[in-house]
Amino acid sequence: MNTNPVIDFHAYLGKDAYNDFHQDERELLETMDEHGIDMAVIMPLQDYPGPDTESLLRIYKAWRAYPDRFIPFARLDPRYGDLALRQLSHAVENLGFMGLLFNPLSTQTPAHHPALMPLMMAAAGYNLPVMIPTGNGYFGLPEQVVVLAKKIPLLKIIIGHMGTAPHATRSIDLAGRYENIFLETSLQQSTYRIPMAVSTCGAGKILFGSASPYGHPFPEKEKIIGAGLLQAEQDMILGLNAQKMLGLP
Amino acid sequence: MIIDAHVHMRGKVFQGDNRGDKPGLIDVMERHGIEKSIVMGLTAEDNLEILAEIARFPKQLIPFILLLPGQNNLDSMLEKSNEIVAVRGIGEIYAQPGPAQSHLDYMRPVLEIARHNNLPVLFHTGDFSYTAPMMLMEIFQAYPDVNFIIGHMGSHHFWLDTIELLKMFPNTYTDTSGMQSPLILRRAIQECGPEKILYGSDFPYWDPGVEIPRIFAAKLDPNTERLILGENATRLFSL
Repeated sequence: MNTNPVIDFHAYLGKDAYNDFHQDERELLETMDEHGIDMAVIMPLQDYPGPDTESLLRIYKAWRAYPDRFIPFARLDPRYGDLALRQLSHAVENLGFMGLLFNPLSTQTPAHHPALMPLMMAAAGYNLPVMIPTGNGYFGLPEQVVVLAKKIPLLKIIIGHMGTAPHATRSIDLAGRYENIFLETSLQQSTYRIPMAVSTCGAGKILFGSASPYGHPFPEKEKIIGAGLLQAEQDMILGLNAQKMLGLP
Repeated sequence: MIIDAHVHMRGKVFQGDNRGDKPGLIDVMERHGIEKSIVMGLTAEDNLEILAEIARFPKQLIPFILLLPGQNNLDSMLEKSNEIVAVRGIGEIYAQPGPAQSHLDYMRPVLEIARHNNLPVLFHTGDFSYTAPMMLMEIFQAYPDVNFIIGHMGSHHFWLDTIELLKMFPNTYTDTSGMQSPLILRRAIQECGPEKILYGSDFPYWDPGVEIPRIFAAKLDPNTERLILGENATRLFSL
């Protein structure tokens, strides 16, 4: 029996601005139990500061209620400058948050923007991994993320969604060339690109994620299992890499 | 019964990936319990070659042909194709009219053939530039007697646009390849009705082993699930 952990590195709680996408901790836990997910990185569906004033608090409360199931990441809007910086300090130092989500699309901020650097420098100082969703749109280019990776080599950056379909091949290539860039697998639909990524950048660079509720752990996990990997590679992607990156026991 | 409404055969998808070739496709269908697939090429140049392969599996593979506005002799291409196997639709069309003309003007030669031969048309949608589904609105309006499939449900960014179009035009349908969230599928069913939605995988880009679980993840009632997984395609394509 395989006792290695399965960790979903990309899940959300809360609701988006119009409630088109929403998920509470009970719904997420139910899905995790149904599909054999031991733990999930949880992030707010909206940036803080923003219309959902409870976004970070909701993540904190869910984590405190289920500390063995959830891993809390903050989500901050760099356009708020010092306020976002202070909130990061509070989230890490007082609340115990373990990572940061920066969304270039929702904050309309390319990942290389000079104004983003203080927040990213602070994240690097705390040794926080930073999830940056990428995909189909001007603010979703993996090359924009690479510029940030070059500016702050100590910052661990996860390319969320592996660039999705339009940018996946280039995301894989970039993760192979930059030590501080990792790939997260959700919403990139091709099973075939998973072994392609393993052979290009190594299984140690790849993290399983669902992007739930934008995606779903069932098909996303099937995508990894059906990719024809060695068992050891599959175990790394499904959980061991996340365990190592986050320093989990 | 599962019918996959969006499958490709041959064509270069990923370097070194030959799963789109026969017998890869038939193997995948059998493995996942797919009874029939709507099959289309990725390039117009190898239409006849692909149709010849499809014709070898008449019970499993339903042929579409790729017709593009720039091609010469569209009518004779369809005639030649029909001599190999009776073509059941046109697609997948990745419309790229450029900035100087409308999608309707660009696509008109192909749309006239679709209308004249009573063939449904499947459009790729979901990328920026020219394949945002809203750009097809004029076409849906100008050809009410042609059935259209909005490929990929608009993909990640345009699912709301696709739902609006499905509600506006009785002659529009969509396939689920590119639809990734149970919330989206349930919302589309609620707003448009389940009859408008066809299961599709976009194999060999995506895999039925992943795309079928996306349907199951929505936990639909059995009747709705049956419609989406096969009965809607049976009705739409007269299978």
